[in-house]
Amino acid sequence: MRAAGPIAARVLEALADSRRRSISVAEDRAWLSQWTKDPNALLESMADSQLLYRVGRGRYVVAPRGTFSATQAAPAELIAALILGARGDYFISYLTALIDYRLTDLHSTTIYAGIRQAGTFDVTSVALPDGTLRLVRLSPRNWPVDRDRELTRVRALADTKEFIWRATMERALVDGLSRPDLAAGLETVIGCWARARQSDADWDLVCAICARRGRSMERRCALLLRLLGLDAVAKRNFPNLSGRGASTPLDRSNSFELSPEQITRDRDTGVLVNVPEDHLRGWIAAAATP
Amino acid sequence: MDRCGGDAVIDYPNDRAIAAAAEKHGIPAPVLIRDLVRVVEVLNLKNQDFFSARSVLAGSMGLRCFDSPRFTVYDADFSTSSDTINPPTAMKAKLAYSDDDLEIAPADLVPHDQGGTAWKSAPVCFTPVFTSLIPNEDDRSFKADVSFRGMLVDGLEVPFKLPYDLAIWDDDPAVWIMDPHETLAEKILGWGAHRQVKHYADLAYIAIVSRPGNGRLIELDYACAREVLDGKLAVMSQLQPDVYAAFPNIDALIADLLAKPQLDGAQWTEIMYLRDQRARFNPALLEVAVTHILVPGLRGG
Repeated sequence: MRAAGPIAARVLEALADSRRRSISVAEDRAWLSQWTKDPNALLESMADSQLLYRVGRGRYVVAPRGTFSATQAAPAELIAALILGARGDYFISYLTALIDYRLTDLHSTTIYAGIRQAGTFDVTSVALPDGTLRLVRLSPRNWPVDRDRELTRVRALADTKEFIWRATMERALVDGLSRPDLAAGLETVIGCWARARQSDADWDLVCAICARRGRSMERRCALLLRLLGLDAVAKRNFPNLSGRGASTPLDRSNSFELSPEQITRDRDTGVLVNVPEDHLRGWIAAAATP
Repeated sequence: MDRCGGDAVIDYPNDRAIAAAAEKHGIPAPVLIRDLVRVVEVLNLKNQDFFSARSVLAGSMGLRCFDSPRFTVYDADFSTSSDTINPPTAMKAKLAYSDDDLEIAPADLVPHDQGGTAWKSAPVCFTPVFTSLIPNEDDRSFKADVSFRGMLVDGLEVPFKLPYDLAIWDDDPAVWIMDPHETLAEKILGWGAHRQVKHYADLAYIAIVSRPGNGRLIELDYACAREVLDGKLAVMSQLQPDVYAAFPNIDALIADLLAKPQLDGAQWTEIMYLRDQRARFNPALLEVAVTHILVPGLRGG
């Protein structure tokens, strides 16, 4: 089944020489055309022979000898990147990035990625070989403006020239707080923020990203920093923040469904703490103990 | 050709067997592989005489010896003493492991609390030559938490059970695990202080499988459980007075358990159960188990 014909062998050799694990009809048509008139048929034929695994329309990863599924050939994030990269800007964030930074001990087969609101995707999720790619459309205001500080280009596999765009830790923390439903809930988000204290997180950058995303995110961020004992950072970055007239829910996913009497309002930030306060304290304390 | 390995402590399964087990149990293959690696780690420590009545496997990996269907994803918990490991940093050499198919390289042990009674090695990185089902290098690590807080009850030596059928050994090896009374106490304190869904889930499981009758897996003596809980609360209140201030005695902890739990729905979906148990272990069952079985038991009812 796996015997490669002479042209297929050349394709595989060329990919190996260029330290690549993936190939696509759209991007590789030019050099494939030197060997075949129909690059699409060639790659399909190689996939039929299990020399490649198909991971999206016209997109494939090389099938290493002895493997039987695409999940052995490439990490899910690389497969997601292959699908997304062909259609425009993207970055991996939310729960996926929080796991990548080991800010949580969870594992998820869903890969979360931000894409531009004006992107060409007309779906919100895409099936992966062993999971799901969940797409999050972001408005221009919520799209990273400081690419160097909010995004990082990560090598997908050692010894390859395949890269993934991933949110920086700071951006991932903010994304989680903005959408707890895409980050395994507020327990996970708070735990990640608490654990990030033990890392080299740039809290001023966290504040800057929150500030750009609006007053509500500023308020949530300020409250959370205070709970984490980082009051000075909050005061430095949000000197004019006042809670007057504001009612911003801390947990946008509202997953605890507290009654109005159970919800308190933080006077300094105007945040409605729609999460049991003992839970908040407990999650933060848990990040400091096994 | 299904098996490989020289002086390995398990028979490493091949990729097709791993993929089949992952599919059958609804566990992502990288998570199952990380679990296999932690199993190797446990046996590695056993071979180095780490385990005894006073030096045990704790937490959810210990609970699996009582058929717990909850699959812990990343950490491995151990409880020991300075009689076994001294100084705590010496644990790094014990955790290191290598055979033809697997290499485990722990990070330095660092204190995890102010009193220096809990240490961790993170990440414990591994190179799993036996499989290609974990291509993401970020997945190739776990965390080892090592408590030196001392145990109140001797551990139990029991068969080390796997929640999946990969035939990695002929007979279940014996391993020392934390006595379930002490595990119960740790989980009650964990829920009271940290409000993490996983603790509540484990409490409910212990309650369910300790009921008398067919299917009883844990012999729970509630009088003993109260005594251990009392001792554990005293220890933890001394170590972390702020965290346990709301619980001046065990009756406060038990009363807290009686309250309807507020479980974060999103977090709940991330708790990983074996596929065939997933529907059974739902929030409603857990609440009933804790409030109608565990609490009355602890109150002597």
